[in-house]
Amino acid sequence: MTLIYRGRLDAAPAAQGEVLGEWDVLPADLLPRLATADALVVLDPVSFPFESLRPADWDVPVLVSLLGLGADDIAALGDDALRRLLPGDAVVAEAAAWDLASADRAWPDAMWLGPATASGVVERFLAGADRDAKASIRARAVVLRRQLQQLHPWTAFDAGGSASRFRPALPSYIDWVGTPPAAVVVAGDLAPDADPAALWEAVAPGGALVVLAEVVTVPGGPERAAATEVRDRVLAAGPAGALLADVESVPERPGPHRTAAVFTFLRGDA
Amino acid sequence: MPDRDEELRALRMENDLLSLEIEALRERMRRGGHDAEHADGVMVDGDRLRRLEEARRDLKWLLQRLGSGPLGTIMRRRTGYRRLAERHLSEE
Repeated sequence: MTLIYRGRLDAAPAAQGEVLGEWDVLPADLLPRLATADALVVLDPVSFPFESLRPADWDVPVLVSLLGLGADDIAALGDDALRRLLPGDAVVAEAAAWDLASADRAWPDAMWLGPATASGVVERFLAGADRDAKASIRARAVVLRRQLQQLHPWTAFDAGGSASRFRPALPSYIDWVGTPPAAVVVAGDLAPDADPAALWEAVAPGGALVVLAEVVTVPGGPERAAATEVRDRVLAAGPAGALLADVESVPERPGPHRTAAVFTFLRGDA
Repeated sequence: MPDRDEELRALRMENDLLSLEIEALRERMRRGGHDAEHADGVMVDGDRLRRLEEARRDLKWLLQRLGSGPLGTIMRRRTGYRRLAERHLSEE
């Protein structure tokens, strides 16, 4: 079921779904609906209670319309709403509003659906909305963020661009440099055939290598290397003093399992 | 329906991950001297360790359930299950 928050607007619903008005979003009513919704379309974000959403509520793919909003409104939405959007979500906005909202947020262009909530635009988003995929990105981004916060890097290098899908959720103080070496190198998805030696070459002396890897071969899924194999392979390719400083598994939702982890390695030659 | 061997393999890999994570946390605590703060100032999250221990207990419970009753007779014939049981049910 898609939830469409029309709020104070009289606009016709942009797609099939349960239409909610300004008085239909008391948190006690809204949150249980969000827990099972396939997608959330917010046509009047200024009056939507984003601040009531708990972290896991953001697993639902969200489309936010910024049509008709000024710079002040967009700035006010930043903390509670826009800061939380990730790939898997979408924004409808005029070009100027998109530029304003996306500045410093590392949103990919694919998140911008253009300047109209015409039925086709919203329906295309809803057709591709995938709650599990969004939850997966969000869960990985949360762990990656936590590991990076421990290192508190001012600059980092995104090896292979693979961390870009998590960037909107990563600390905004990080300056992502275009070329290595960097104090912190982030590999957003360590492929089974990746060469960790190339990653280590990008790490400046005394720096850290942060690797997200899928470490469980789920039934029917692609072949993965186990966590200890990843650790051994990366350490074997690193300099003599390299060590594993931390490993944090990613809790999957839905379900109790853990199939991915973020590894933080230190060069150990400061 | 997923093959039981594939499920066991996934369970084994998940256990490998949790064990490594717990090992890393214990190592950080050991180096820090106590469970609140690492020597280099990085906080160790005691709640995280607790959650991991809970997850590991759940996985052990699953192994015990798989190994009991009529199904257990079949499971114990599987090398993968025996390896997991030896590793995680006989260590304490």
